[in-house]
Amino acid sequence: MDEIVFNRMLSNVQKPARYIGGELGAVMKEPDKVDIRFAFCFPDSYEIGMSSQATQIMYNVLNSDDSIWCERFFAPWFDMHEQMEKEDVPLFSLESRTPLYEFDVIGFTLQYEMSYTNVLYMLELGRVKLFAAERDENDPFVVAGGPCTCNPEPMADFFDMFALGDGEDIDNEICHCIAECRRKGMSRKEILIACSGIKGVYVPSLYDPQYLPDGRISGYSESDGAAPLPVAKRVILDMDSTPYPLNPIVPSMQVVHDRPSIEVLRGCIRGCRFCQAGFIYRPFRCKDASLICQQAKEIIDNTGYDEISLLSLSTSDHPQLEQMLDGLLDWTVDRKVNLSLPSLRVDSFTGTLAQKLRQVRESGLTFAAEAGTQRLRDVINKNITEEEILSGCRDAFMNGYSAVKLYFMMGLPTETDEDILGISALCQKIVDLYYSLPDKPKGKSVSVSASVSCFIPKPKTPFEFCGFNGVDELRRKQDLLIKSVRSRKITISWHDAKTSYIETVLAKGDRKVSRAVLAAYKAGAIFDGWNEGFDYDRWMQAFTDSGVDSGFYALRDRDPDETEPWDVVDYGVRKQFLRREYEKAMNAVTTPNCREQCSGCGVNLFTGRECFAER
Amino acid sequence: MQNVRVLFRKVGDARFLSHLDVMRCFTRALKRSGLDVWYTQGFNTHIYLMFSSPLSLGFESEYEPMDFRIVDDSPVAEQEIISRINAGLPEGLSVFAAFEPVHEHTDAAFSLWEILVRGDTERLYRSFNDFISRDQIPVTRKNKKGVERTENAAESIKKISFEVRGDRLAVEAVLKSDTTSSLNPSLLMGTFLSEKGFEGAEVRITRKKLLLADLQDFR
Repeated sequence: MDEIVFNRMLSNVQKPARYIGGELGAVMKEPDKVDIRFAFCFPDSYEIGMSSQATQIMYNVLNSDDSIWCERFFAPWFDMHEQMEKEDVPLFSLESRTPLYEFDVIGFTLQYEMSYTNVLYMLELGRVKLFAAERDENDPFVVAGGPCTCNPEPMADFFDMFALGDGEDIDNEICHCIAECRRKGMSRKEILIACSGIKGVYVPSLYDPQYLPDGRISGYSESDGAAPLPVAKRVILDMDSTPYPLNPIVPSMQVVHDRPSIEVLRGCIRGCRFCQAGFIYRPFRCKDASLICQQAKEIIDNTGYDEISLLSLSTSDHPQLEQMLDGLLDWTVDRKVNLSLPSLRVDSFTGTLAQKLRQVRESGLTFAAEAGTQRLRDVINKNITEEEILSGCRDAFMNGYSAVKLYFMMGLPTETDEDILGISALCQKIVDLYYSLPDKPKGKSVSVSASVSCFIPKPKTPFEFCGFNGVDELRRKQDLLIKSVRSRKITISWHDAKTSYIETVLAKGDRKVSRAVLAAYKAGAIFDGWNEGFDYDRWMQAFTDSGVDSGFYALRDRDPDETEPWDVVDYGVRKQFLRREYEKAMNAVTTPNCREQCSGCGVNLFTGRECFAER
Repeated sequence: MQNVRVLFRKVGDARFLSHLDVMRCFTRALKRSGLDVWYTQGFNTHIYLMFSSPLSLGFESEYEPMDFRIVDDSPVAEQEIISRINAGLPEGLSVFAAFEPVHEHTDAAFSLWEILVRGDTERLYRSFNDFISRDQIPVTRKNKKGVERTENAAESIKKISFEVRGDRLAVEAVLKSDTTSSLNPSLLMGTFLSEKGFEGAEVRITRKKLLLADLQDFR
């Protein structure tokens, strides 16, 4: 790229460091010496994308391969977009400043639905045709991975392929397959069919959905050579031997999550019925405690950070938790390295653990209570009692903490006003508990903050059969909750129900919804996950203009026998299990965690391996 | 305890890093270096770092002093310090000298700047000559509250020379840069460009040296 133009653009934007690359750990290669140039695209800002472990993991596995050069792309912020339009500059990579359209493979990570319009934004800015059907022999292959691919259909028209499940091997295999097919002079269609033979690759253009008169799906017609539906996700079984980024890219500017992460486990044994991650990342797999300590040390040695975060869905479920923490605290304290454990269950927060964590950090604690009453916590299978929440808080207060943060949801299935009032009642009990303790921290006032989000019934969970609670109803409940708070020690924050509604449509949509995504984008929607970008009315207009009935996707309760858009992909958890869990939820019956008793979700049959062989 | 002063460069795209970013980069590079550096003893302990004169975002520099301390008494070789820190820095940031501090930070009095302006060089040269050859060069700066204050930039210019270099006007200026007051070269150049109708011209500013009151190198 022309240096003068580059300088002119960067001199006119707020945070130019987002666009310069050159960070410690960034990888440069000779373009002529690789077979495949891979564009890793994170459809959000640099600060968000560089905070994601997906970026580091994919960058590491792809660049470990001598035949591939993976470079990074993020969504340029509004001010940079304006500069790029003015200068007529296409979206370029951070490493070599090469335009997106020149890459062989473009890989997006779909981490949240509200980034969907940014996919179109980046493709168009990178001068790549938006629809897979429009791309021809000379165009890049556009692939998507990440958790949202568990319902690929709303984005199916824009992608040539989806890489389902764990990403460590699959993208490299796709690259090799494409390189090999090109050497043989195969056509684009032939290459797509060849890639569909790779385990975990879903090529949407090979399947044509058929609909019933009422709009529901009746089935799919398959092209010749297509793999049979559903396409199964890819699973890494052994965490210990799976490559992990020990030399991550260290952003030079401050990013949202400004510390490295060490992944300690994948999957979750808990089976909380609202949690999509808890089902789509099954089975539970963990990394050996001594390997975690060794890798964490290496990451700190390589980067110079003074903090490291343990990454998991529930860190306290690691079978060697004590050993792992002791092994880490053994050197982190001396070396003035903070340990951050973001995913702790309140029932695990015992006195010893609280004391151990106090050695390294002084800050608030966050517990996920999720619902205000025991009945509703049983419905969602949170398996935490009020006594456990209070006891966790007591341990925290006795160890010097005076601020706790609690996560809740509203709009959960079967929820009543009593459950909403239960949120403020629980917060009040925590405040009262603090003042009842003789050993509370001296001279400090207690602070209880409750963050209340709107529940989104997601695919591949027992609540996939449920509709969204509705924007007006959630607003009413938010009002009810805020009016019920009696103490100034309690702060309530809540999420915008309108964003959650749109997110539900995008999460549960079928291929027709892609028209609405396009219409919203064309009407100017980008950065929908940001206040600066989101516009509810624009989205509602886009649904109307594209003939998409948003309520059909978001508000409707689904029939158990219905063919769902996400049934095209298999994430190991069987529908019968989800329905069984749904029925139990309706009766407020809990399910024990996987370690206590197998609940028969089917993932063991899927992987051909017992989840907990040691039992 | 060993006091160490390093001189580093901030060139190329690294000029788009803010001063806070640069501090964080050096904190990590020092942590990674394995040098036994001294930490502040406060409640939130962190690596002690001291910079002379923070550089504005967008400026390059070939002479940035930064101080830290090494706890160990046995001296670490200059080359060892340089190579260990450089191994942990992003592109465009690099240390090129390490020594025991000679001067106090308050001794720094001037900066030597190189300012390159792209455009119609003949007209630039003539206009700059007009602009600078006055006893009174009023420049207006805004403080944080938005209150404007006009001062005479001529008083802060110790030496200045300029020539046409290729497609640019090249200005070499020694400007006041001490702890009490300093003249930011972008303020001077911004005033020049808007006064003479060159708005939007590309300007690149590099600090070449930090100088003492007698114009000797700050070390």
